[in-house]
Amino acid sequence: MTTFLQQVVNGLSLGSIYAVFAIGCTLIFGVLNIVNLAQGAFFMVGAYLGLEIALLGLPLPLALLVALVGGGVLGMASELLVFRVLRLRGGHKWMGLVASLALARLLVGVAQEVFGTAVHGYPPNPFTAIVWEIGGVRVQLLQVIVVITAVILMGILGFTLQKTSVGRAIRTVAFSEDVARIVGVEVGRTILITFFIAGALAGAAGVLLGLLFNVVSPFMGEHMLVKGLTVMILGGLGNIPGAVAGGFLLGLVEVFSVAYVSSAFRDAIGFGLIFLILLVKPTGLFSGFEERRA
Amino acid sequence: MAAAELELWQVAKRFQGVVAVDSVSLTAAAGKVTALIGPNGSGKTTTMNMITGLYPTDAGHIRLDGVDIARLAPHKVAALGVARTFQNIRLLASETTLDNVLLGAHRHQSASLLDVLLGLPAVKRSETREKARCEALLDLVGIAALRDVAVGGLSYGDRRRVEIARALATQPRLLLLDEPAAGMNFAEKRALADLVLAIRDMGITVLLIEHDIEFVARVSDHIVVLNFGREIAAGTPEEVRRMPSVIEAYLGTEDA
Amino acid sequence: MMAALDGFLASYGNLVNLCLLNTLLAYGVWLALAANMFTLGTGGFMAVGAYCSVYFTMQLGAPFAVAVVAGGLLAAAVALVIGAPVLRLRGDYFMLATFAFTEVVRVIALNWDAVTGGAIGIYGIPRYTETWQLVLLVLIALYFVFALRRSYFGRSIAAIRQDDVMSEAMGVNVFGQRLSLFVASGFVSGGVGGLAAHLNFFVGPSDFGLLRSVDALAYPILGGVNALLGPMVGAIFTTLLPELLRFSSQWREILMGLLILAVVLFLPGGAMSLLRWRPRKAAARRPSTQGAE
Ligand SMILES: Nc1ncnc2c1ncn2[C@@H]1O[C@H](COP(=O)(O)OP(=O)(O)OP(=O)(O)O)[C@@H](O)[C@H]1O
Ligand SMILES: [Mg+2]
Repeated sequence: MTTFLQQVVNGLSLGSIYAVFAIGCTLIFGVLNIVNLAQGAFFMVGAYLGLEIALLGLPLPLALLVALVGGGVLGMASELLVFRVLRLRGGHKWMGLVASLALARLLVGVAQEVFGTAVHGYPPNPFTAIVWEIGGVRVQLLQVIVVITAVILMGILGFTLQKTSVGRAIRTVAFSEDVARIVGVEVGRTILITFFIAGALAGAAGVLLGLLFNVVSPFMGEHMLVKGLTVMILGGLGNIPGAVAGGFLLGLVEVFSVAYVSSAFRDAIGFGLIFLILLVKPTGLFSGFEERRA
Repeated sequence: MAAAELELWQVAKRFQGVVAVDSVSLTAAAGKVTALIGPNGSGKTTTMNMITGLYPTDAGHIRLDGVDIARLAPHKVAALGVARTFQNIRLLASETTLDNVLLGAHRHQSASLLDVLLGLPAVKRSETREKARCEALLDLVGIAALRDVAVGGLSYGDRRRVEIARALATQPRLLLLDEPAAGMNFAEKRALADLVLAIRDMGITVLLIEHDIEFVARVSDHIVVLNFGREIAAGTPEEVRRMPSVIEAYLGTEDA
Repeated sequence: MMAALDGFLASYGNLVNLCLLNTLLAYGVWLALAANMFTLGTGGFMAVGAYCSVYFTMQLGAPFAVAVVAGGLLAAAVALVIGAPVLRLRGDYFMLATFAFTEVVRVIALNWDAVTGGAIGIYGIPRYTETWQLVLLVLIALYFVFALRRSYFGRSIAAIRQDDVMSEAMGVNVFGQRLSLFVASGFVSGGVGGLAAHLNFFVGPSDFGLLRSVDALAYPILGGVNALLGPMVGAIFTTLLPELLRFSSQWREILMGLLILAVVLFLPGGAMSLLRWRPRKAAARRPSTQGAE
């Protein structure tokens, strides 16, 4: 039972990060019907930005904020320099995938040049080192902070999408660009904001993961991208509540399979399941939540 | 290869609650021109999409010479001799007129993939044969001069003609035309009416969707009127013209 | 003459082999792209082909040619099995399903120690792949693609790429043709996997992930899907360029990223579209493939 609860704690903290990251990916898909493969690189850059702030001895909330803004700016840059240009030139959707991966490659190269290829860790912080033992279950303050931060971010996003004019604009564009234009939504600006939000979520997820595992490297983005795509499939493309549920589910499944399933093939079973989900229920496990996109 | 008879019996289709076709029964007699008319959104195109297998039906039967084709994949329906044109012209814009029409001849090509990869003479023979057939069709619909022009640059009327030629290239027994006269000028419509009659006289059953009543009256042997996904009237052009329900449902909205 | 060639191959042999191998792969991916299948399964098929052929040569002692063909056939068989369900998925779902497939293969490779050597991979694979074999295979691939494109199959494939609903209504067996092309693409990718394994002395699970699949897609897309030589141009461009840029590996990555971006942004039809004499508007017009009517 203790192991079980321990895995729940570990799984939730990991899953909350997956959820934050995947929401960004799925948001862009919901609005534009494209996958931005550079999201993983924004995640990595966010982790480094946060690390640099932390190394300066500045407080962690500031690190998170800088990563948010940095990731968001990169997201906007990818829209302005890549996706918008492709749309205007009538480039094929495929081009967007190739281009976004080229962008990721460029950012990984820059990160290697600037920070080196070695793995870095966040500086020790007495505040985050606190651990509680509750009935044999170890709960790190850090884990609590990660989950709470993730939930707050998701809450802000949910509020923005549901209750603000920006959110309404985003949902209208996701429904139909033509309709959005007719009702007077500035489509270009709305898309730009969407990219900012997605990039910001990726950057924040980078800091959270960097903190949780104390590992920051130029190659962490590719790994996360695979997780993000997986969660997108689990939740259904463009389905934000689905991405939240899918993120937590993936976190829990990963942690539990490490604890209980003998190691061989466990990931293969996971991906096999995803493959099956795509075949049997391509709209995702959680498509009952919300039929609409974004 | 004889003209085919098409029979729809209580065919229905809905899209997430929206009833596009409620219940349609009609017969397109072999070797005749049957027109399907009705106001916008009355389910004409949806009916045609079900006949060609693009949409599965929710209920009813679709029979071609007595054989139910409602469950068949579109290419299998085409293989039985059903061809169509599209309301929103669907051509390969960057390819030439002849290449577009040759796509219709696809199912009559006899060379196998192995023949193709080995470059056997059978490939050339089959291609030459089909090319000649398609060129004759271009001539028939009156666009022989546009043979090597990319269709993206053609006029609306000419593109509709390319679509008809492509459908004829499949050698159909039943030809479905979705608003073939839309966007055509008066002279083009006259020529198209003659073409439809010529196609009928070649022994091809024609089912025609069209809003232009003059055009419909000129070419049709039989008219079926749809409204809100149901057929509300049927008869010869003369009979249909006089039916009050038709005037109300169709001509009424047209005049408004 | 022969001496000069030998000298050239001695200093640039590896690079030449790599270009040839990637060209072959580019045509394999083109087979899928030609019918609008944006497949991320290439990495998975390559892995299947690579491990299978290495098993044949190293464990079963089979001749090299048999091993490569076996690798290709196994990959083709896998493509056939997953193709039937996957091809029923629309655009992005197809892409993600093939991505999931590649990940399944990678993870199996990571864990099936007895056959794949697990995370460490397999070292000391005999080097059987030779330049002349690759040249021959590239020529065969070029001829096949040339013959296919110019035949009526080429016409129907181009039609499927641009408007599959219309193609089907015109009597083209869209599903059948897509499946055949997907299987053929799997065969070529698997074969390339086998050839690569017997060129590099080594195979490991990290050779065949998501990035490998996207790189393989980039070759024909960067070169141009519509031109016969597009895939070859794209493959050689992306293979040679990093080598010609004699910088640190980081700078190489940065410049490669920039260059690919430049090609994508300035030549949306691929590099070969430079050579074609057609107004940009017509070439760039986007196909509409959504729904009937
Ligand atoms: N794929 C679809 N998804 C959802 N609704 C559809 C779809 N196709 C048609 N409809 C709806 O079904 C109804 C009938 O449409 P249909 O296109 O068959 O009409 P139509 O008689 O051809 O009209 P028109 O004369 O304008 O061409 C319309 O309300 C339309 O909005
Ligand atoms: Mg219609």
